[in-house]
Amino acid sequence: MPLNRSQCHRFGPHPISRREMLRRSSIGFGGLAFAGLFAEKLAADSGHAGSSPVAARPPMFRPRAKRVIFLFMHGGPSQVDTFDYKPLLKRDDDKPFPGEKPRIVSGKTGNLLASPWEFKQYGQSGIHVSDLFPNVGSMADDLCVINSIHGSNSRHGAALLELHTGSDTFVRPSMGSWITYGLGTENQNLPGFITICPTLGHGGVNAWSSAFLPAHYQGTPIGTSRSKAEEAKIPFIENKEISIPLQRMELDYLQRVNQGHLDQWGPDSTLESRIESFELAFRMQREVPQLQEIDGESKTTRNLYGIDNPVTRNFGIQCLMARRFAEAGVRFVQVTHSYKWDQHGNLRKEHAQNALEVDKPIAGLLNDLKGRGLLEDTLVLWGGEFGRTPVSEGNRDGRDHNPHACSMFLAGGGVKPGLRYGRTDDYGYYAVENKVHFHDLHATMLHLLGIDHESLTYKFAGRDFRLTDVYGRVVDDVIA
Amino acid sequence: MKQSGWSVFDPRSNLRFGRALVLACLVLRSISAEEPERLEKDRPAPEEFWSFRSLLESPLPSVQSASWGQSPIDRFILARLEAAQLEPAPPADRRSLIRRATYDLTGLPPSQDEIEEFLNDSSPDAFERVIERLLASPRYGEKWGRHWLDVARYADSNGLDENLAYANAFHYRDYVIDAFNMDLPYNRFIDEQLAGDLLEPEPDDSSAKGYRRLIATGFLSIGPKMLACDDGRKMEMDIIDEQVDTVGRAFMGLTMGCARCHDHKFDPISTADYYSLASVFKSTKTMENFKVVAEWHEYTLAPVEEQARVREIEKSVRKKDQELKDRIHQAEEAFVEGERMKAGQYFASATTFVEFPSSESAAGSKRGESEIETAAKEADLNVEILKQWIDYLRSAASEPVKFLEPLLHSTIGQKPETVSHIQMLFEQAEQLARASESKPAGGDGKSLSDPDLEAARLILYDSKGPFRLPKNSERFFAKNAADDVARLKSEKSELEQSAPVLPRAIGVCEGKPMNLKVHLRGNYLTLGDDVIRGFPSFLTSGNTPAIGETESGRLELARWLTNPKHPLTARVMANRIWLWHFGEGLVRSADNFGKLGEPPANRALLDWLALRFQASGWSMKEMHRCIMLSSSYQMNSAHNALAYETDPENLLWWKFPKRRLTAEEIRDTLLVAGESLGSEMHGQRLPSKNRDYVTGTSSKEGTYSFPCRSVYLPILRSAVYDVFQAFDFPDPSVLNGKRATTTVAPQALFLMNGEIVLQQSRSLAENLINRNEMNDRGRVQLAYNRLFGRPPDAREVDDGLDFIRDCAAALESEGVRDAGAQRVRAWQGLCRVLMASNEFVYLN
Repeated sequence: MPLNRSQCHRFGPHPISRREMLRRSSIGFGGLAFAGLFAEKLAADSGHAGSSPVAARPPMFRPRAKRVIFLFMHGGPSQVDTFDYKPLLKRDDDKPFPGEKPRIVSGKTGNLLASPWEFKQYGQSGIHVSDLFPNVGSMADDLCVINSIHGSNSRHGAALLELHTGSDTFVRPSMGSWITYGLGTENQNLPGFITICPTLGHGGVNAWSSAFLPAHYQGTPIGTSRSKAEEAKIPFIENKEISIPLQRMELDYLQRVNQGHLDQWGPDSTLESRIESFELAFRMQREVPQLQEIDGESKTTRNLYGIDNPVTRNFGIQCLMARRFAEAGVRFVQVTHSYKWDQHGNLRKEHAQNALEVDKPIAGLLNDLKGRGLLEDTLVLWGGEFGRTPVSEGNRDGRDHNPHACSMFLAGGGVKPGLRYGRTDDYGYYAVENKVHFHDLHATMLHLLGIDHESLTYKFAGRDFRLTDVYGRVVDDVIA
Repeated sequence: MKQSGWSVFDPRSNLRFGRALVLACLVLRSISAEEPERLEKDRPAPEEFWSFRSLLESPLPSVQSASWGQSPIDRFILARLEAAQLEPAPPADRRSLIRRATYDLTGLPPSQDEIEEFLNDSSPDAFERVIERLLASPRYGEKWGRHWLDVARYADSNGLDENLAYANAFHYRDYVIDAFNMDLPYNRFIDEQLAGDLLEPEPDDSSAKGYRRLIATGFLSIGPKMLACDDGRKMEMDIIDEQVDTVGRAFMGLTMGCARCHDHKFDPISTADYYSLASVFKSTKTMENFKVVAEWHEYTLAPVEEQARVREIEKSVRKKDQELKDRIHQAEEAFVEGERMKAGQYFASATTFVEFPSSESAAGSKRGESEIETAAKEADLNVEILKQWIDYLRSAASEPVKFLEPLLHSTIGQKPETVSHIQMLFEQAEQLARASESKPAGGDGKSLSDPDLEAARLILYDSKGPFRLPKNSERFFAKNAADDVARLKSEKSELEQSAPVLPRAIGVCEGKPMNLKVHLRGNYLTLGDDVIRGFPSFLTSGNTPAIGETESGRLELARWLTNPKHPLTARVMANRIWLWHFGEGLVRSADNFGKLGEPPANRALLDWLALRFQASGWSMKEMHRCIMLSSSYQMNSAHNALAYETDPENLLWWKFPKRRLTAEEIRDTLLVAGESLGSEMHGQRLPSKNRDYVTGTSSKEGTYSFPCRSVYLPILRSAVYDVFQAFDFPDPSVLNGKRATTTVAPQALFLMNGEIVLQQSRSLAENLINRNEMNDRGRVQLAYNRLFGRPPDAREVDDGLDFIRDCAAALESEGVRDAGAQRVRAWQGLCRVLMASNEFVYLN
């Protein structure tokens, strides 16, 4: 096992100071039998990168992806209207569903409802995509569409938590936190896990919370689903009163005051790292707004993401930010299209509007990543917290929640491109073949990142916890 | 290393390593072989595991150095240090000591006067009197109550899926603060939180305080709940599970939750044990229902007669309200009916405002609001209904009605004869419909046989048509109707005002007593053996109180826990008290005393403290005195290279650990520095009504802007105050006996840019500048005294003055010309720097 996996001193209440560590690693432990081992561990940890709990760490095995961009469609897009083509649903429109409806449902539903949208086959792969997503459809040969995703809970909050944390029962760390805990992050001037305009309802912060993992692995929200993307900010990132040069002057004075204190009470690595944290904050304060600044973007890029069109502008900016953060070394970036996809009614109008808002930006993002050679090692995930029923709700212009079948797509990051994987029944009500539970999705994502989901554990309240609890299976079939 | 060894990411891997070193090489040889045990694969028999065995009274260990130590605690500590050939750190200087003790007991800095007084008090009991003063301060409960609130996973909202306001949870928070201030014995504290509703009422039951025991049961109910789950049975079992887990970890340090699905892998807790205890909570009423969105139970804090009186009034209010609604409905009907009789006129008048597609002239269509009003007035029509008619005709083109077609599409367009023909149709249809009482549009009403007349009738009675009720229609009511409505409204509001709003508190009561079956793999669809309500069999050892058939068993649970023979209750709490004083517990996994927890670093001391705790009548304040008057507590926190080498984790307590202020302490201290902190206690500051969604409240202006102590600010799950979040406030959804202390950049950002810091630094700066009696040297000295509790040395004063000068010059070059403004901003900068410094946020 490589020694530098043992990020050992990071969490100690009074970890060793750097000076002390160097001294000790050279002296060793004298008569103690394992002095050698200890010294090696210390030496491995004394490198600069090792000093931060979020320092980049090598994965367990060769990774296919280095980072993740998760495009979260809050509300539950309908699979049978987007990526799960079901000809029989069209044929049997308004007939009763011939199978059995689930034991537990969130609402009353009627007969089968054909998709109001036509499906077309795209690219060499011939993947079916509905007219809602023409731009994403044109990227079909880069997508790995999974039609057999499923969870277990039919309510937004619980399903959302299940997707983000693996549990619909308790507060657990989110997948972004687990991944950052496992791999650290590559740019120490930025948070390792960023969530752009996240939704505050239906579990809210739990979707990016580190729960019992140390706070370093908490997602950093930029704005909320209520903020416009261009106005979204990291908390406390701006000083409204003083200029940067003045702040630098304050910081220099602060470090003098701190040095005096350290000289008297040190050595103490906690005090030292706190001194460093101000320098990091100062750098972050400069770097983050630069990454969010879109005014300087070329016309081509703006067009690519649909930034100049009022309909696609907001999500376009979110996607562009995601690309920039990913490129700058952020490990996990989530982009949320807020709680819009919940069409119990008004399906025709509102699903169309939602798709219009995201279709072009998503295709733009995929294209941009591809053009920059980033798609290879960036895993893009698109999907909502559940699918919807193929049967109608209300007056035949809506669909209810359906955790039993949900379509998501992956792209880049070592997945097989141009693949349509898994199958639902003839009407798209239940995943039936090559089923992929959220736990399996998590296991697969971790695998692509070079992490064994059974080995990424954290001890809390007396036992080892994992993202996948006691479940999870890597879906080898979707890996290139 | 074995495969699962990747969990060396475990933060404690290094600590384990260090601990193994210390324990293996230095400690084990000096203590009995019975402890501490290391992990084994097999579950231990209860009698084999240290924490499940009775408390052990050990003689005070003998020590070589007789000169150190003033308390039995010190003997236990010193014996270990001597065995490791270490020495305890020298006593802390008096400034550090009073700062440490004041924060420790109250969460606030000592005032300058308090520091001076202590420095100048050479009597031998000076520190003892400081402790007594602090324990008597109401600020004590605000600090120590908060420790317990971490364990109780206290919050003012549900969090999880549906984040509803627990607007009545604050009573529990206040109860906890008061319990600490009154030094409520810990065994009674447990009784009340688990079964306060089942205890004999207190003598002063008539006063508001009489409800404290009901309020105490809020402990069981304030956990996060999945409130929107279509599977109600799952919801119920999840809520019970949360209670079992919380009770297990809070009072016993046992992870009972693991046994929901299978026998505990490491501790001797079986699924039968789990479901026995779960049955106690199944027999307890926490929820009113399990619908989507579910409702939790609350107590009304008022005598029954008062509650009955209010219910009576509410009944009358409902009755009055119905009366009012009926009267309004009647008046609305009458109004529309009356207007409908003028259907023809409305139609005719409306046509003059509409530009029909076929018409050649655009006459009238351009006329605006005021013309419509004039037209309505002249023809004695209602202006809102006339507008509805105009809108209706304008949109009619897209949804054609046959008899209107000549008007809309033919070339004769606006010819008077078309208009008057259709006008007549409407008039006729209205009259016929009124006569035949075939009023309702569509299905139910009797239709008219002539298709054109029927089409006209449908329009006239369409609830969304031109005769729909206009908004705010009450202003159009006839006088007698308007008078009636006004009278009924005022009667209703009088009634409402006569009913006092009774305070309510979240809490549990007895439900229907019943026993569960074991749920195989935690699933209620696969049931196993019956169990009966009871407590973990391996811990009961003959002390199990019997649970009556009609009782949930909560009271018996409390009594069982507080039985002095229970091996865990006193140990777990004694350890928590030690942890909250020293920053680390004697058992470092404070919430886990099971096999996977950490072994005690000093079991003899832990047991001595636990026995002492029981002997003192479970008094918290006695424990504070006992601990704080030891030499161990009064050591300094200086680094010692030799000791560090032997025991880097300070497991043997060779020094007092430095600690960073908590989130609340940082905020409160900033407010103290800016002289902004108020002393008002208790109460609710949530900007939401009970059961309202609180999502996004964190961004609401003013949610956290109260000048009260932090403990009284709202704690919203999923939207915790960002200042708290930045400084490791624990996730309020999860029981947490030991807070983490991280050092992350967002903390620095907050101290550089946060609003509170800007405000309080300005406030302090202005205060300094206004001290006309002193010069700038004096001001720097005052700032140091205020913020660090010590005067600066000469170099520090010079550094401060240099900064003020440089800063003013920089401001000048940035265009800030006003000398006064420069001065405020420069001094503000100095204050901000001191507030951000290590010395400000760390205690020695």
